[in-house]
Amino acid sequence: MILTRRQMFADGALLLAATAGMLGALLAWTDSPVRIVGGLLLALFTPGYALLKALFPRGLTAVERNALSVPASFVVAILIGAAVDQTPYGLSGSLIVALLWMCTVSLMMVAYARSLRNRMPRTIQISRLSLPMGVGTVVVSLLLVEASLIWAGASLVEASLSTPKAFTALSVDGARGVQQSGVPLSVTLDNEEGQPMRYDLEVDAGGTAVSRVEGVQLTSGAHYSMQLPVLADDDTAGADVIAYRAGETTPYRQVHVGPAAQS
Amino acid sequence: VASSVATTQEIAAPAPTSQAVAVSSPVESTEAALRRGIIQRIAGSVVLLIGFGLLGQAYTSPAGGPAAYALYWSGLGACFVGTVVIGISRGARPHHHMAALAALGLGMYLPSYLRNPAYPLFQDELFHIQTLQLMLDYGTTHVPITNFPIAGAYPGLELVGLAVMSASGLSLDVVVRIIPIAIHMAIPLVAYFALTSTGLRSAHAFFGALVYMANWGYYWFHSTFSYESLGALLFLMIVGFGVRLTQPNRRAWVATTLVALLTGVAIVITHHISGAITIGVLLTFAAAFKLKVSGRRSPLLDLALFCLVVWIGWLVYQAGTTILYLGGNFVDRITNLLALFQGNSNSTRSLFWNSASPLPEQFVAYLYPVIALMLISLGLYQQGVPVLRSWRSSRTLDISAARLALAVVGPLLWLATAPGVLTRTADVVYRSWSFLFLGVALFATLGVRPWLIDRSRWSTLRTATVYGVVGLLLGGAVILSGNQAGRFRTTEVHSSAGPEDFTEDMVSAARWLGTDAGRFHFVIGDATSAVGFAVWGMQKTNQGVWPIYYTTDPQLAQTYANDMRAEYITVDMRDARYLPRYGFYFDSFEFLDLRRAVSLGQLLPLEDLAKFDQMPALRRIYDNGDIVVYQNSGLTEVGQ
Repeated sequence: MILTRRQMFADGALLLAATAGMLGALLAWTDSPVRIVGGLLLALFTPGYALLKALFPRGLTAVERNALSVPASFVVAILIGAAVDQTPYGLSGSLIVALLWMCTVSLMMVAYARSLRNRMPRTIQISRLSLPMGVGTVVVSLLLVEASLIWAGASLVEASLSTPKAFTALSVDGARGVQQSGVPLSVTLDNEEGQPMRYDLEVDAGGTAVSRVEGVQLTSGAHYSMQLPVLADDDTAGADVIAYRAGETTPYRQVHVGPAAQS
Repeated sequence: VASSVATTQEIAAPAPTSQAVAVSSPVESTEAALRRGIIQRIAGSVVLLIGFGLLGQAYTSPAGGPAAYALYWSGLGACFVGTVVIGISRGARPHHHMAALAALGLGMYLPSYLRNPAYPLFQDELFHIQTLQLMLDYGTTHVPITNFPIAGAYPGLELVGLAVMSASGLSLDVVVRIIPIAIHMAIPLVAYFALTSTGLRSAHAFFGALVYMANWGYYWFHSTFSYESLGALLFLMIVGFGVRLTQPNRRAWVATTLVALLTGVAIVITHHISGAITIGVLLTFAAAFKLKVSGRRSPLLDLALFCLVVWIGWLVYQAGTTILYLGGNFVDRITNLLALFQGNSNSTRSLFWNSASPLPEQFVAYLYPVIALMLISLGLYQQGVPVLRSWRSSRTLDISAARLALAVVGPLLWLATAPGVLTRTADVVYRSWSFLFLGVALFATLGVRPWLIDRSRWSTLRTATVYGVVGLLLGGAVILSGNQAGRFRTTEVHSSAGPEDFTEDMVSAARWLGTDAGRFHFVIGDATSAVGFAVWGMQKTNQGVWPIYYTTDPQLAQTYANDMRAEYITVDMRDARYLPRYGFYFDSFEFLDLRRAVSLGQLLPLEDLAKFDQMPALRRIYDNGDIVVYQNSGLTEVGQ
C-alpha cells in the first residue's frame, strides 16, 4: 500500500468521525446527528477498516478492504464485548465505545507505520475529474437520478407508516383484581381504535348494575380510569366491569374484580 | 505444486479495464466506450431507484390485491435489472460491481421491513431482541432469558447490538433494523470477495454473487435480526480468507491466518451451527490442500483445530443451556419424524404441496431446483472433464485446492441434501444452503463462464439469457423463502399461533402486563403469546401447556394451571377462528394429545376458550377483544 494524499484525507476524516462518535457517547450527546453518524461509523466500519489496513498493507485492494470492513468491525465488536463482559465492569457501554475507539486509533497507527516502510512518492497524482460526456447529458442524468431518488424516498417513507390494528382495551389497574385494604380498585379503558369513540361503563355485582358511567368520550390514543365502588368484605362473587360502545347493549369488553369465583 | 501455481497465475489475471474493452471493440473509441459505460451505470442506478420506489408502492396498495403483486414483482425485478445493468456495463470495475450488489441487497431487504415497519415479527429475531434488552438492563451476558435461553448462550449478535447502541445512542428499536440492513448489504459483497479469492475475475464474481443471493436463506431469513444471519456473514468472510490460505503465497499467510483466527472466535461466540460448519469447511480446505500440494504445510489445519477447540470450549462454558438446547433440538427432529410417520402433521410447506402461492409463482418455485441443478451440472462438467483427463494421463488433479474443497462443500453436498426438502427436515436443509451456496455459485459461474466472456455477435442475447436464468433462480428463492408472517400487511390475519399474530393488540397486552404486574411472572398462552409476552412483557413463558386449553372442564383446567404454577393465563380468541400457522396451537409435541383436532383441519373449539371464565380461581383482568388475560389466584388462595 502506498499512501496517497487522498487516502490520508479519507482516513483522517474517518478517524475524526470515530472520535466524534466516541466523544458523543462518553459525553452522552443524545439525539445528536454527529454522535449518530460518528457512532455508527465507530461501531460498524472503522475498527474493521483499521484492522484490515494494519494487517494487509498489500494483498487487499481498497475496494475489498472497504467491503470487508463491516464484517471485520462485527468481529472486533464481538471480541471486545466478550472481553469486557468478563471484567468487573460488565457490559459497560462507555467502556465498549472507548475500546472500539482505542482499537481503531492504535490499528490505524500500526497501518501507517507499516505503510511508511513502503516508499511514499513525493509527487502525488490527483486524477482530474474528466467526464467524456456533454454538459447536457450530465444535467439530464443528474436530474433523472435525483427525481428517481426523491420518488423512491417518498414512496418508502409512505410505506413505512404502518396502520396498526384497531382495538379497545379494558384492564384492571396494577394487574390485581382483588381489593387490598385502603387501596380501592380501578380500571382503565384505552381507545386504540384510530378514531374517537364513546363508551358506557357499568359495574355489575350479582347481576345488578351498581354503578354506571355513560358517554365516556375518548379520542384515539386516550384512556379513561374509573375508580370502583368498595366491595363488601364478605363479598364472595366480586363484580364485573363491562364496557359498551355507546348506544349498544352487547358487552364490548369485560373484566372481573374481587374474589375469583364467577358464575 | 505446478498445477497449483498455474491456478495462481490464473487467479492473478487482471480484471478487464476500460482499455481492454476498447481494444476488443475496434470500432468504438475508448472515450465512446467510457461514455457508454457511464450512461449504462446511470441508467442502472435509475432503474434500481425505481425498483425501491415500486416496492414502497407495493406496500401502500391494498394488501394481497393484484396491484400489490404486480408492484412487488416489478420492484424486485427493477432492482435486479438495475443491478445487472450496472454490473455488465462497459468498463465496470470492482467498485461498481460491489455498489450494485450492495444496492440489490438493500432492495431485497425492503420487503421484510415494509411488511411491519413498527416492529419485527419473526420469533427468531424476537428472542434476540429480548436478550439484547436484558443485556442492556443487566450489563452482562448472563441474563434471565425467559423463553429461548440459547440466544443468550451465543451473544455475538447482541454484543454487536450493544456496541452500536452505545456508540450511536440509537434506540433498540432502530438498532435491530440497522444491523440486519448492514448484514444484508454486506453478505453479497463478502461472497463476491470469496469468489474473487478463488480466482474468478471481477465480472464473473459479480455473476457468482448474484447466484449466491439466490440461496434460500438470503432473501428473508438473513434480513432478520438473527444470529444465524451474522453467522452466515462471518462464515463467508472466513471462507474468503481460507481460500487465500490454500494458495502458495506464504507472505500473506500470517495476516490472513490472524484475521481468520479472530473471525473464527467471533463466529463461535455468535452461532453454534455456523461455527460447526465453519470448522467442517476449514477441515475440507485443509484436506484439499494436503491432497493437492503434498509435502507442504498450510495453517488451515491448525486454524480448523483452533476453531474446534474454541467451539467445544464455548459449548462447555455455556453447557447449562447449550446441552439442553441441542438435546431438545435433536428430540424435536425425532418428534417431527414421528409425526410424519403417523401422518399426524399438517403444517404447510411452500414447495411442492400445500402452497398458497399463485400458480405462476408455484411454477417459478418448481423451476428453482431445476435451474440450480442445471447450473451446477454445467460447472461440474466444465471443471470435471479437465480434472479427469489430467488424472488419467498423469495422476494429477488439474484443479486448485480451493475449488476442490468448494466442489465438496458446494455442489456435491447440495446434490446430496436437496432431496431432503421433501421431508420434515426441509427447514434444516434449506438453512444449510446458505453455507453450501458459495460453492454452488462458484461452479455455476464456472459453468456459464464461456457465455459470459463470449464476444460474438450473439453475446448480448447470451448474456441476457444467462442473467435471465439467474433472475428466475432469484425469483424462485424469493417465493420459497417468503416472509413467514405473509408477504403483505393485511387487515385481517389468515392463521393463528404464527408470526402474523404479533399484532398491536397482543403487543399492547404484553406491555400492559409487564408494566402493571412487573417482570418474570409465569405466564402461559399459545405459541405466539408465549413469545409475545416474553419479549414485550418480559414474562417467563413456557411450552407444553396445551392440556389447560384442550378441555372444556373448568375444574380440570384449574388443576392443570395450579400444577404448572401458572400466575397468568392468556387467551388468544383468534385460535378459535383460524387454523394454526405451523400446524400446532401451543407446542410441536401436542400431536401426542389425542384431544387435539388440528390434524383433522379443525379449529380450537370456542368452548375450550370460553371455559376460562368459569374456572374457579381465575380472574379476568384484561380484555382487548382478541387477547384476554386471566390472573390465577389459585396459587395463593388454595395455598400452593
